[in-house]
Amino acid sequence: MQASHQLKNAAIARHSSELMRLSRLGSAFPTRLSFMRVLLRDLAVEGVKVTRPRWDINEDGHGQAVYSLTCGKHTYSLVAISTPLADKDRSDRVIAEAWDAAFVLYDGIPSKKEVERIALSAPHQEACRYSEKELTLSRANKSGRLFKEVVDALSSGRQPDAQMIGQIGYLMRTTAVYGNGKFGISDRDRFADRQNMTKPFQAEMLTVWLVRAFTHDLVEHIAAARSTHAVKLDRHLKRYLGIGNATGLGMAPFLVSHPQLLNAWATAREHALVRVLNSTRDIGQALEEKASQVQKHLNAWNVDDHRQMERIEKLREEFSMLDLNVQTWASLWHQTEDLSFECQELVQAILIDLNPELVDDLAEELGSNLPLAWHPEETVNKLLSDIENKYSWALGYDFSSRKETALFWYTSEEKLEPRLGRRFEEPGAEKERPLDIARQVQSLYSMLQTADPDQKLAFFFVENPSHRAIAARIQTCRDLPFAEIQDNLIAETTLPIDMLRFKLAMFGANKFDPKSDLWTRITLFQGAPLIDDDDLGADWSFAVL
Amino acid sequence: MIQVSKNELGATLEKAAIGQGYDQGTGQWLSSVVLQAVQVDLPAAEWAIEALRHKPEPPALKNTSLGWQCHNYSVLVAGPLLTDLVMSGEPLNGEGFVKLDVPDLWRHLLTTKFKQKCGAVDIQPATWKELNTLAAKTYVPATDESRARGAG
Repeated sequence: MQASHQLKNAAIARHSSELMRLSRLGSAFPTRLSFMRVLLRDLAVEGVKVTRPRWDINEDGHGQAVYSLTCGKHTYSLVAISTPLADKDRSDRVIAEAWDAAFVLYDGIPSKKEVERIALSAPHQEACRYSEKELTLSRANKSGRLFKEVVDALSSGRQPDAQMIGQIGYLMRTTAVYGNGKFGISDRDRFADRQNMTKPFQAEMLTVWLVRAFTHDLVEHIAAARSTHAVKLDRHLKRYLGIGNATGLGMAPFLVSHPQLLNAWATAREHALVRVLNSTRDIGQALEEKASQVQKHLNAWNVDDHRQMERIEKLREEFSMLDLNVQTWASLWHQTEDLSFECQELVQAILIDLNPELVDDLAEELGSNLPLAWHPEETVNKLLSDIENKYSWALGYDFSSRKETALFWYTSEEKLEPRLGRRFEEPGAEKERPLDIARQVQSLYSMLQTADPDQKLAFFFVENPSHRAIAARIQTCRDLPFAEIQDNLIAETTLPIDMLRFKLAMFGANKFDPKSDLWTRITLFQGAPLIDDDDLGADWSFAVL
Repeated sequence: MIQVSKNELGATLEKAAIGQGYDQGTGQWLSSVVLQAVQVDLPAAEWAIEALRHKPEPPALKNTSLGWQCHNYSVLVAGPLLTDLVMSGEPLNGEGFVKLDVPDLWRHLLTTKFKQKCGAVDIQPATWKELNTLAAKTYVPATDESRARGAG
């Protein structure tokens, strides 16, 4: 954070070489600029009310339900299809054939006939085709232990075990939320200019928020069907119950294949940080109160993964040592300079969360419509210069080393999603996906050095067509400081979990619970307002029970 | 006809091109040109598959035979390298190139950014199946080891 002492008039607090490393991205926390938070704030501004026009669920909790809300000129409906599922068929993996419940976010209010159509297809997920009326497609499985505990307790007239709720935190967990045209559902382009849908992933986040409401209603319904003495779930407990999610490699390459979006997200976070650090706004009691809440939140964050648990323990200790009796926000920030990335990123999140009036408008900058650039009229020399100025980070790796090329990204035949293979141990490297940005840049750089510097790129790439794509990427990203993850993504040491964490933090997820280097469990909307809460825009960061 | 989303069509085309042996850049190009063409209701997916069926060999990359003749849109389906040359503004009668007289109308089409059209794309089921078959050439089957690591 060398630059952070000279922030006046600076647009960013940290250089891309510091910020865009996997190790730091893999320490990110959600903020007010995360998509879930933005969604609920926008719904609050709209004064949105959620209704439940259909509830055809039997006493076992199986059937169909519809939740609807209107934003501006458009109504959206979650169609939930709950079906029986044997315990042995319940899997965290994205690869499965049956789930406890399937969902679509429908564009409008579905007729009975449309619900019947969806009920026939959605439980089969990827095996069916969908229409433009479906904006997202998702599915979820019950958390067997907690779902049963909550239903048993409510039907017995008591509240469920708060400790178990604290440990698990969700009644159902999703294994996929598909959007943007998958399996024939609507392209995002078709609704991206609508009010409340302009920012990224708003349809997906809305889906999950409504799924959460369905899970709350479902346990109360089953309990009530079992006993006339059943009680409703305590609202404080209910608010703490989010939606679980298991996320793996399928999501990781998104940050590489969408450099313009990555730049927009990281830039918004940095701009927010700079605004707060430059602010003289009174700190008051807010910091101490938030810090106390955060410490409780950290104490409740316990995972089996040894590496992550060590990081959490260190974070707890570092955070507890911070001097909160500061006069400026920057004073708090500077204390983290020699602390772990986890602590730095946590404090950044707190600074952003405590200053809504300084940062909330930056949510408007989270999207990007920048197209892929391509300037074949430019010269070899210009491209060389672009690489030296903007991609110098990519030129230092020794790609003749097996360690630097140990991994390769590919598309799985089984799931049609990105996966990561071991180049020297597993077949398939000849079908490698081009996520090896640093290696491609280096290769192009070598070729350009032997070419006529004044040659136009159009002519250069007639002779070297295989490098045209990376050249276009360089031209696209040369003016976007945070568009690239500045690491070799095929190195032996690469941890895909780091890519996942940054993206999930941008979603607004918390309680990262890595199950390996390749996938993690998380909780979505934990602590968030309920669909019938008065203030959907209330702060719900760092939820505690 | 079946309906596919533009995003789905683009992703499949890019993979299909790679599955047919083109490089990533050509795959991206083909995908982008087709998606641009469908904005104005050209039968783009149909001639895209036609293009993929008739993959030119490398020597053809240096001359105008790079383009695939299909309907009346031969320039739009010309290869990306030829497109680059046209867009570079350089005369295309230099060494290694057959003299190419690009009509202004074609040049205009190449550089026009069509107004965005929303909505899914109608496509012949057989064409969609053929594109997916080509795309499948880029997929890697899971191994016991990769499944065990959760990467299958």
